[in-house]
Amino acid sequence: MPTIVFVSPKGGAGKTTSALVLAEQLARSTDVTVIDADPNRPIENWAKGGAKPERMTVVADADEENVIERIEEAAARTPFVIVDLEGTAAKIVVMAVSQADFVIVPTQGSQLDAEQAGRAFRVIQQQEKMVQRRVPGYRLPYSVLLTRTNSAIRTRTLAHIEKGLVAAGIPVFETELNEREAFRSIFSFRKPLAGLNPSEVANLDKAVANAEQFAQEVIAALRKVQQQASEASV
Amino acid sequence: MNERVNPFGDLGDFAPAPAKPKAEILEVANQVAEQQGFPSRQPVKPAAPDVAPAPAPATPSAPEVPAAQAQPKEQLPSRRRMTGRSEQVNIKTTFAAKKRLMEISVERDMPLGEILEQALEALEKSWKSS
Repeated sequence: MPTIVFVSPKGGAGKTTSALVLAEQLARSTDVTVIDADPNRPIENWAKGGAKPERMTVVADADEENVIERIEEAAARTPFVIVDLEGTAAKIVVMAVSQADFVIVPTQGSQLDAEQAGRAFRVIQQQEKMVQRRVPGYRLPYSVLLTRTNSAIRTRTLAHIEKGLVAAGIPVFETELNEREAFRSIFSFRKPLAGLNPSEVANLDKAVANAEQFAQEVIAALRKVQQQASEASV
Repeated sequence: MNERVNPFGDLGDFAPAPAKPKAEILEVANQVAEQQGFPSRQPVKPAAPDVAPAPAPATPSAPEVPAAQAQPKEQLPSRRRMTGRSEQVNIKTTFAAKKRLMEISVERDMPLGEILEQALEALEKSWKSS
């Protein structure tokens, strides 16, 4: 069921990395389609490395005109669909959000990132409100994922931003995606985390643990959404 | 690296889903995109533009006629034109002839394709008159 869309109008927030990290973890247990809707096709390029997990399918021909169809097709084929988008305020983002069951907004701990993330929230909230007029009870859940954080030190800016998000009622994942060499190595080696060599990549075990924790939190959030939806329909 | 124990267990409670009603979704998405300032960035698909590279930095004279057809974005001093000419001809020639061609293009602010057309016309005219 779940189509998970990664949105951030700002580039470099960690969309592609977090989308791929989540997809890899899910693909350990189930079939996942990753729709690479970024015109730079980073995930397609990554998959060319030949180490893509067996249960992961990459669709890389999505554009503004066909993204809705691509998501529909994928959602009918595999239980999980993950959509990675370009880091701009483009219409394709809204198109993908319209198909989402859950939106993840990756955000770095900087004021600039947080401001741009605000644009994503407004799109999600307006989408939810407008669909609710037609479909009462429609919900479009979302959550912020703080990315590239330092696992040891919590900066004041990050603490300030997180506090601001929580105060504004914006859901924030407890798990953060830490700044780790391993997450960059996924792309430089064109391999999934599980395919990297611990002798070549520092703290790989910590990155794997981080990825698993993130995926578990996403799954828990999706289960909650499913439960709420089934309660609403009863 | 060895695969560890799968921490997620059974994800069988998540199944592929039927499609959502498309017309309504599209309508809402269009409105949201417009109101929130998320414009279309899909490249339009015009006829392939006629590319006329300049040997030296191009003169900063503003292109007149093709400007109306060009995409409404920041104009840079470039030899790139949208002329509707979409066929490519690769010709081997001497350096001197190429230089002459490029100089005419820059001096007259004329795409290479147009120079070729006019040159052919002039050639045919000269044959007829001779």
